[in-house]
Amino acid sequence: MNASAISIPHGHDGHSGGHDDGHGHHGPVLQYQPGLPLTRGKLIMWLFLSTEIMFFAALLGSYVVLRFGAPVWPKPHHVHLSEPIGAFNTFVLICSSVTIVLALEFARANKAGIAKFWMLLTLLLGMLFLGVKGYEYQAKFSHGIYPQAPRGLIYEKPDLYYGSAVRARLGEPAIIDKLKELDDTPADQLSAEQVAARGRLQQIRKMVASPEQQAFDLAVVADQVMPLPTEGPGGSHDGGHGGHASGLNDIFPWLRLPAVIPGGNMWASTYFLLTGFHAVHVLVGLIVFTILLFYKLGPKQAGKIENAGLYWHFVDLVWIFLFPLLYLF
Amino acid sequence: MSTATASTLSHGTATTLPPARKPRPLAEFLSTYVFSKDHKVIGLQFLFSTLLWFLIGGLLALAVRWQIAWPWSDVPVLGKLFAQQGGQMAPEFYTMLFTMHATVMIFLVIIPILAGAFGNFLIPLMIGADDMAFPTLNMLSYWFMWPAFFAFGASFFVEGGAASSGWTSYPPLSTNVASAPGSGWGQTLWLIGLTMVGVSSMLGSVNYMTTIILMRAPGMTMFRLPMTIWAMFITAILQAFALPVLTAAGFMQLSDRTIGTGFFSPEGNVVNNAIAGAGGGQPLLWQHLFWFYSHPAVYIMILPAMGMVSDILTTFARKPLFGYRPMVYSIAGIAGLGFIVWGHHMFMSGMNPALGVTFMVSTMMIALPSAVKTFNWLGTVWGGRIQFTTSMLFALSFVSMFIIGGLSGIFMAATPVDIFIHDTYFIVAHFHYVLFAGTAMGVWAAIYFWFPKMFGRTMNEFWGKVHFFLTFIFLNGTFFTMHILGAVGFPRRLADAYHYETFHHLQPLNAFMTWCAIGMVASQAIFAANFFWSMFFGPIAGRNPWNSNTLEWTAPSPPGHGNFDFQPVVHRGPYEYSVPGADKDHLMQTDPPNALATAAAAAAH
Repeated sequence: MNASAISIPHGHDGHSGGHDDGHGHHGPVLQYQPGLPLTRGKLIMWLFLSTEIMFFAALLGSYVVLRFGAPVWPKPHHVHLSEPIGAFNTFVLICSSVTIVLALEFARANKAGIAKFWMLLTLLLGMLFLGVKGYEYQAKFSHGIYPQAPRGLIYEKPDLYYGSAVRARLGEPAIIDKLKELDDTPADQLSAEQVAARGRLQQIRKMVASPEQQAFDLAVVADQVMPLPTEGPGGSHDGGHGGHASGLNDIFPWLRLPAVIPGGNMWASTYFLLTGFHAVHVLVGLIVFTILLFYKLGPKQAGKIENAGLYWHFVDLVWIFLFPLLYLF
Repeated sequence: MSTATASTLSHGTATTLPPARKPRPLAEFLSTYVFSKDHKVIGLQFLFSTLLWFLIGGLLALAVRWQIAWPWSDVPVLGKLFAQQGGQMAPEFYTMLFTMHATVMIFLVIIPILAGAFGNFLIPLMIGADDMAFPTLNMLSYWFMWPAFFAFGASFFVEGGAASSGWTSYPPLSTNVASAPGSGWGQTLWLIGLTMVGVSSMLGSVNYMTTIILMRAPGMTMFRLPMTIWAMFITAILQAFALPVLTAAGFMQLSDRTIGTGFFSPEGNVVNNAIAGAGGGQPLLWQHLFWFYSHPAVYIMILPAMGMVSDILTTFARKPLFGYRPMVYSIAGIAGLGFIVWGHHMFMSGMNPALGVTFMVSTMMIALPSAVKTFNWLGTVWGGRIQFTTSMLFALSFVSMFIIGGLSGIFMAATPVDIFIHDTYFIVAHFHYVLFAGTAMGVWAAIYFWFPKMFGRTMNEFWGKVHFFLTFIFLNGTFFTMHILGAVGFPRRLADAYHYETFHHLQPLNAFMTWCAIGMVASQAIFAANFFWSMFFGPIAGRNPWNSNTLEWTAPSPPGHGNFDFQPVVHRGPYEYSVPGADKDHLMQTDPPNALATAAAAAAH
C-alpha cells in the first residue's frame, strides 16, 4: 500500500466502518498517527492468519507427538493413501494460488472481466481439490477406515476382540443370506479370482467358527480380509503377495469384515483431523471467492481480493506441510 | 442506564440530522443498546454480563465453601434448589461445583471483564480513536459470548449435571463419557462453551491490535501510550497466539467424546469395568496443549489489571509513573516468558526431571519482571501526594496482594517444594491471591475510576470505602488461611477431606473461612447498590473528575458516538503530574508543548 493511503482517515479498504447505526458522527472525522503502512483490512488479516498458524501448529504438533509416541504407525499403503493423488491435489492447490494472484493483478489493472475469469478458475480449482479430497475420503470409508467408533472396522491386532467382531459380522442375517447366495452361485458365473476368493472365504468362516481358535488363526483371517501390502523394492501397490486387491473385502465389497491395521485407528484420527480442518478452511475460502464473484472486480475490490488471496496462500501453505507429513513419511 | 444522558448528548446536535428520519423506537433501541457496534456500549454489555456471572460464580464458591466447612450438612439455599439427597450435596455434585466455579470465574468473568469490558471501553478512548477498527467484528466478539453463556448455563440442567472434571478438564475423566456423571453432556457443553469464548477472544484480540497500531491520535507514539493500553496490547498478543492452541485441543477432546477418536485416551483404558475406546492416545498431550494456552492465560487475567492500576496509582499519587519504559518492557517480558513456563503445572504429572528444572528456572525468571513492576509501583507512590479515593485503595491493595500472590507462586515454581504442596490448598491460596485479591481488586479500582466516564456520574465514596474495607478484610480472612491449610497438606478438590483423621482439627479454621467468604459475597451488595444508585443519582462528573492526564478524560462524560468532539492531538506522555514550573499539577496529553514555556515565562515576569 502506498503511503498516501494511511493519511486518509477511515482508510478501511472497503470494510464496513460500522457507523451506520443511525446516529452518524457528532465529533469531527478523526486523523490518526501514521502506524504501519498497511490498511486496516490487511493488518487484521495478517494478525488473523497468525492466530491460524498457531491453530495448525497445535494440530501438527499433536500429530507429531501422537505419531512418534505410537508403538506402530501404518505405512501409507496400509491405509489406502495414494501419493500420486495427493501430489495431484498439491499441484491443483498451487495452481489456484497462482490464479488468485492473477485475479488480483488484473483487478488492479482495471480489467474486471479477466480478473473475474481468474477468480472463477481459482474457485473451480478449489472445488476440484475438495472433490479429489472427497474421493480420497471415500476410499478410506469404503475400507472401513473412519475416525474410530462406531463405524470404524479397524482393529489394532488380530486378538480375541477382533475374532469376535469378525464372527459377529459373519453372523448378521443379511450377511448369512449373501454368503449362502455366494455359495450357491455356479462357478462358471464367477471369475477365476472370485472362485479362489470364495474358497478362502469358506476357510476363514470355518476358522472363526472353530472352537479351538488360536491367535495364529486370527492373523491368517486378518491377512485374508485385508492384506497389508509389503514394501517391495519396486514399491508396487499390488504386486506380489498382499496387494489390497486380493483381500476378501475388496473382492466382495458387501462383506465389510473388520480388518487389522496396526496403528490404524490413531492414524485415522489424526488424518481426518488434519485434512478435515484443512478442508473446512478450503471451504471457507470457496465461500469468500463465491461472494467476490458477485462484485465487479476492479481496483476498488483489490483490497478484498488481496486479503482473500492472503488467506488462500495460507490454506495452501498448510497443505504444503500436510502433504509430506501424511503421504510421504 | 445512561439512556437519558446519552440521548440528550447525541441529539444535542439534532438540528444537523436530516429531519425526514422517522423515529423507530424499537429498532433504535435495538441498534443502540443491543446490537450496537459502538465500542462503549459493547464494553458495557461485557461489563454487565460479566458482573452477573461474577455473582453466579461467587454463589458457586459459597456452595463449595459450605461443603468444606460443614460436610454433608444441608445446604441452605442451593439444597432446596437442587434437592439432591434431601438438601445434602453428593460428592459428584461438589466436584461439579468447583469445576464450574473456576470455569465461570475464568472464562466468563475475569478474561471477558478485562479484555472485553475495559479493553473495549478504554482502548479507543485512550488512544484517541472514534471506535474500534472493525466495529462489526467487535459486536460479534460480544455476541459469540452468548452461545458460551448458554452452553455453560444449560450444562447445569442436563443429565448428569455440568462438567465435573475440573476446569483443567484432564483426560481420561473428561474424554470418557462413562467416567463420571458430569462427563456426559455437561462436559460436551463445556467444550462448546470454551470454543465460543475462544472465538470471541480471537475476534477481540486481532481487532484490538489493529486498532492500537493504526488508530492512535496524531502525536500518540507507542511510547506515549498509557500503561493500560500497553497491557491491553500485549494481552491481545497473548490471546491471539496462545488461544488457538486451546481451541485446537478443545476440538480434539470434543471429537474424542463425540465421534470416537482417541487423541487423549490411553491404551487399555478401563472405565467402569469396560474398555473405553480403542485408545493409543496420550493423556499428557492434553495437559501440554491445555497449559500452553492456560499459562499465558493467567497473564491474560492479570496484565490488563496491572496496566489499569498503573494509571490509577499515578493519578492519585500525583506523580509520574516510576520507570515507564521498564514497565512496558517488563509486561512484554512477563508475556514472553509466559509462553515457555507451562510445564510447571505438570511437575506431578510425570516429567523428565531435566525438563522439570528447565521449567522451574524459566518460571522463576518471571519473578524478575514482576519485581520490576512491583518496585516501580512502590516508587510511583513513594513521596507522592496520595489521595485515598476508593479507587486508589483498591489499586494499592492490588499491589500489596499481588506481592503475596507472587511470592507464594515462587514456592510453587520450585519443583521440590511443589511436590509437597501440589494439589493442596496452598495452590488455591496462591491463585486466589493473584486472581481475586489481585485482578478483582484491580477491576474494582478500574470500575470506581472509570465509572464517571461510563455513566457521567461518580460513585459514592463513603460506601465505596465501606465496600473496600469489608472486601479487603474478608478476602484475607478467606484466602490467607488457605496457606495454612495447604502447608499441612489439606487437599483441594476433595468433597470430604475429613475422612483423613489428620485433617479433623482443621474444621474450625474452614468454618472461619466460610464465614469470611459469606461476608465477602454479602459485602458486594453494598457495591451493587452503590453502582446502580450512582448510575442514576450520583453526583454529575465533569469531563475530568480525577484531574487525570490521558485522552479519555478530554472527551465528554459519557462520550457520545464518535467519542471526541474535537480532534485530539497528543503532545506529551501520559504521566506528567506535578511537573515543576507548570501552572497546574497535571499536564494532559493534549496540552500544547508551550504550556510549560508560557507558565515559566509568566513566572519570570
